[in-house]
Amino acid sequence: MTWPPMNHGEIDQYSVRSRWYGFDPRVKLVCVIGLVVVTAFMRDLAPLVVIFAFVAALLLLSRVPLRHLGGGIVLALPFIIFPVLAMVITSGPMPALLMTLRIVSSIFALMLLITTTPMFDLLKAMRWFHFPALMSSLLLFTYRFIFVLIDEMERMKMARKARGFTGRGSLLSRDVFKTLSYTAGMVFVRSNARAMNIYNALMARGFTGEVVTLRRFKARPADGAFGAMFVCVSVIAIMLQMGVAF
Amino acid sequence: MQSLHDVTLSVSSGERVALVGPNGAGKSTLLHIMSSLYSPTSGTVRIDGEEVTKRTLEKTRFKVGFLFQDPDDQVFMPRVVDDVSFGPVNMKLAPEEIALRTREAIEAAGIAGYEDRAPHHLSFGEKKRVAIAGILAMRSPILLLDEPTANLDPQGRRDLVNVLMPLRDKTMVIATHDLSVALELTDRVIVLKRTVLYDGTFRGLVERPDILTEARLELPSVPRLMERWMERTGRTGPLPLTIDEALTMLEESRVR
Amino acid sequence: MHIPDGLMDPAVFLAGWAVAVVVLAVAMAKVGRTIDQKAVPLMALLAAGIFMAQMLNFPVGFGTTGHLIGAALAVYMLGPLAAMVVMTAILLIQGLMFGDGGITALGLNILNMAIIAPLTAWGIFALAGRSTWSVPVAAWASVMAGAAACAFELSASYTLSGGAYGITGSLAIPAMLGYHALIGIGEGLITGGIVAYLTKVAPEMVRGDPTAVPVPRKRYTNAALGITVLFGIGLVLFFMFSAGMGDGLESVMEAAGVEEVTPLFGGLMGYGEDYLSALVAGIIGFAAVFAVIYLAFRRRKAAEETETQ
Repeated sequence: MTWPPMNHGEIDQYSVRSRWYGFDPRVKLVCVIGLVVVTAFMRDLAPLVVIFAFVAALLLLSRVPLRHLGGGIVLALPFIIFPVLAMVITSGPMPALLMTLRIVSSIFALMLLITTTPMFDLLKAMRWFHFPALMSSLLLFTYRFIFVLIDEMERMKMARKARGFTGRGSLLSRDVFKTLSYTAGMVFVRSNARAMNIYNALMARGFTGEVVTLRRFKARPADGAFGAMFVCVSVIAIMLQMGVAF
Repeated sequence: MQSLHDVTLSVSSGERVALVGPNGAGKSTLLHIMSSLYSPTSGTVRIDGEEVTKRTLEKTRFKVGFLFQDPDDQVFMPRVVDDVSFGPVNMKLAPEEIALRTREAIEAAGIAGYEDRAPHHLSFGEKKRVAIAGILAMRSPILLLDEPTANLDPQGRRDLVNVLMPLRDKTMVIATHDLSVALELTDRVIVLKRTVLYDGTFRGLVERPDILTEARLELPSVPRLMERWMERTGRTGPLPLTIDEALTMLEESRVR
Repeated sequence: MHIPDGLMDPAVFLAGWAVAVVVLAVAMAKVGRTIDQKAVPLMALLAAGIFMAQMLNFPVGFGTTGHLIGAALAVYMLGPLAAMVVMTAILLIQGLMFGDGGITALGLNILNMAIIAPLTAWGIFALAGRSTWSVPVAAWASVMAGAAACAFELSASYTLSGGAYGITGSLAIPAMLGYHALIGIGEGLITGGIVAYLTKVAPEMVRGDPTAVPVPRKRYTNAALGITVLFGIGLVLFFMFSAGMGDGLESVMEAAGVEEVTPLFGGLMGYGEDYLSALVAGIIGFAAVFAVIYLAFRRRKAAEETETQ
């Protein structure tokens, strides 16, 4: 199934096998965010090419199947194509190319983080940096409930299909619209009960709202090297941007 | 409308109790109250003699393990091993202890080798075993099980009984419709229909067809068969409840 | 409408972050105080629901599709503050799960979809009550407000950076507003449908939000809302009008008599001299609008409290 949410269950599996999984999630988080921030300020060809090459290389080396990476690009496509076209018309091809490099590099960097780090590890890393507890609990449950909703939706879809509903016809057809909104509403109502059960089941096992994973964070020298890589690339890029001769 | 009223009961350490009753009887609610997930509108809950309040809740939480009816609601983490260790991690045990308990629980539940698999790819029976492992890993002295055999195939039910049977040191309360499993695992039965209709042995319950009817219960096939056989042949004596008891009685009659 | 990294000028996304952090901090503090632990899974379920709804694509003509944003639905079910928290959670999940929406751009995405959109819907509910027709209208307006803000950010990025970031206003504004006017219709219909269904089947889920504005409206709320709405409309009209004349933002600055200030990182970033002053003007504008709304909340709350005593 290529429906994005299903993919994510896979992503969590694949991340464990990727080359960059073993690095401390906190280090990866900081590195990627740092690089993305630096990239956002870059406006010249040289630094952007350096950054792009770096991130692309890391992604290729990561051993994550490429189809997971395509997702991020596809989602941003409207926000790449339209601005780029507009820019070609108004400013010329070079600024358009630069903006494309900037956007794509940033997406690649984010993908690097996401595809090599399971969601719960990522949340725990964020908590370590004092990301608010309320929000992190909310994210944890939302993540879980997305899969609950998908389950319920599949079941209702099957039930509808068994009674002959095909869903053909546009949103404006009254029947289709009614059935779809009723299904949506019903999925919600049923998920409500399940949500309380899930919550109770977690409480019964001592859940306190804190993100819990087996993995203990322990920064090792390899993480230092990983971080150093990112710092170097960032520094080179900034220096190129500022026009310091190389 | 209240789902329960006027329920007073106590379970001693090491006892195994079956909680039976019709749909909507409040069995689930009662279990939730026993595990301190719900608080009763009136009355108290005491665990190990100590009353459960907001303050004592933390201490008592890990004394009670709750197996929910739907394993999909219980199994939360992306890998089996993560989920089984969820309880011990929350108990803030040392890493070696967590690993040990997780390993043992996975063995006991019969899912060795499943550690890295994603729970949502497993079959219902397998998920159930992951849920059980998660409870066993916490080593709670009290186990509450809500319809543990619901939707399991016959082998699945057999597996479940095999997992639970050896746990002699634990106190168990099993809410179930499945009287044959209740017969195998427990010695005491409580019939619940918003209030306690009966609390005693199975043998005693069998002699109360009025309660059986009111609670919409039906004896399992073996006792029902033996009941009618005993009527027809005029044989008297205690009604056999299990296959072994029935065979003994039939053998004796054949000999006579 | 999830803005990726690298599209917006740093001044714009930094301003976005500034506003988003402040508003979210207030919203989360208030929400944290009023809910108990049990509410978290319910909010999470709504977040998951809106997340799934955002996956639904519907055709909006010209061969393109759009998707639901859900801010109005969130406001209808949870009230403005919790809705802001929920919408932010959705944006974070999308970013963390799919890389949809950037990190530097997150502030702007939160501002557009988790602050401006819900507040607009809430404004309409406060002014017109919760009824069969106000729901679709609020939904449509929330989409338009978010889109207008995004268009403003794009064109500001273009202007401030001299064409290196963003999209020029003359293209951005009509494109964003036109496209989202159509999406808004879909949003209105779907939101209306969901609310209708839930009202019929599970009314306790949509009974109302804990921070509800009681329907007898007070003067200052009306004033605050009126100012916000006028500000929004005025901004959009202004830029549409001035896009043809070139640099809208510089005109604003001239009108406000803001002096040009030597920029802090002119050498590093190579921006023009008006960089910092434009940044200041932008922040002052947002802060002013926000301050008015916030003060209106405070006064209304004080008025209610004295009334109930």
